[in-house]
Amino acid sequence: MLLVGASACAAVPRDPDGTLERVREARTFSVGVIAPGPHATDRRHHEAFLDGVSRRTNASPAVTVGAAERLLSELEAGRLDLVIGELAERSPWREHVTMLPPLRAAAHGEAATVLAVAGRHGENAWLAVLFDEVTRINGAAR
Amino acid sequence: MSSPLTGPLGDDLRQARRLAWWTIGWMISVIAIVGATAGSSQAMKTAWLEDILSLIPAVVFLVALRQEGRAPNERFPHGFLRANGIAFLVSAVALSGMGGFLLVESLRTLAQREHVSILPLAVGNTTVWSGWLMIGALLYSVIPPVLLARRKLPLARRLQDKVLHTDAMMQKADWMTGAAGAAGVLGVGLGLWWADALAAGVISFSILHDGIGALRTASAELIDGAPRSLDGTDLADDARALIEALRRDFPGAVVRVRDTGRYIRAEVSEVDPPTVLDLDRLWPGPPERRWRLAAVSFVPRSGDA
Repeated sequence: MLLVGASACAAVPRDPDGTLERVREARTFSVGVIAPGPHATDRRHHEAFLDGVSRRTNASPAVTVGAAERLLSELEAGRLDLVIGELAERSPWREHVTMLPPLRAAAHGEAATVLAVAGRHGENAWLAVLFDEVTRINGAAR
Repeated sequence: MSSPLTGPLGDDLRQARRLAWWTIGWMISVIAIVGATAGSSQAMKTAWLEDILSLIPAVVFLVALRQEGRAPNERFPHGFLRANGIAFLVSAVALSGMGGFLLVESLRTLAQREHVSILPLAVGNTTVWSGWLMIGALLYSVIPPVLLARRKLPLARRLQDKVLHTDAMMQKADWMTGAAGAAGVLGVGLGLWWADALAAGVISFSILHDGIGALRTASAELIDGAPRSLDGTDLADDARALIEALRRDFPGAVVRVRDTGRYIRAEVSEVDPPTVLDLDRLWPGPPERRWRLAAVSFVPRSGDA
């Protein structure tokens, strides 16, 4: 009984659209990297994060670089699995996609931006993998 | 009229007052716990708003009880017995509002195919899916309303207190939404994004049914309608029996009865008033509920004045 309960708990959360399962089966995940702006810093955080997600899922990232608006629209529509890049801390995109805790906060004058990682709303198993990796990197940086 | 707490209903009213304070205390703890675990989950925020709304009947019950005992004065010559009626209307609006809010929220979630994100929580070196915390908070939110509703319902019947009865209905609504919320969060965890909204939508009909019934009865009381039963919109049995008893004792009379809070007042017209009227003998209901009949007044025959 305990074993059944424990295995049922381990199976939660799951994704309604099966993102994590698909990533593990196809061994690839699609990433939108927001084109660097004037305040962009080095890309080590991006790379460390994507490497970590690769290790956790045994899959490789397929990267597309573009403008934030286009990438986040594609993420919302389910054509991308995650978006990473500099975004305003209070981006209105929070309504449309799920923002994970920022990889690194950076303030540039009044327009506070963060190195944001975003996933699709409701894909909770996939978001949990991204969250674990953000937590690991932020923990290591402290 | 003296304070109701010192009358024949004193013990029951004091117990009801204690339960109202327990409700407020317990629900504040539920509001704090559900609020702390809500995160960005809309379902949890909805449950949190409902918990806040569910405080209203208990609060207005206490206010009305305090008002009910105030002595009549020049500005309020009939006293404050109908404070209970105002409290009942406010509670009925709150209960209906809760049902309506729940229905609209669940329809909106289903129509917009809103997928809820529930992120993990970092605890030391590990992470825990925060849905488990939400389920724990929602299950906790179920316990107080179940216990309180079970104790309030028999009291409400003895006191013929529609506010207390609506409060018990609100507690029923609360535990049902808490249980549905927990099932919904688990459903979200299992990848069923619609589970939460569907469960809430189904339950909202039951809450709306209770709320609209209470609203109809409260409105009837405000326009001097005949007393309604505690848990429906039919005439109360004791009011119906009183009408029959008055018609039997005063053949040809026009008999009108109405609620003033928990009490019944009757008006008899088109007959000569008796020199003495024994209300204890007249009351057709069980003796322990004789207090319900507050007054019988007689109106002179048409043309006699």
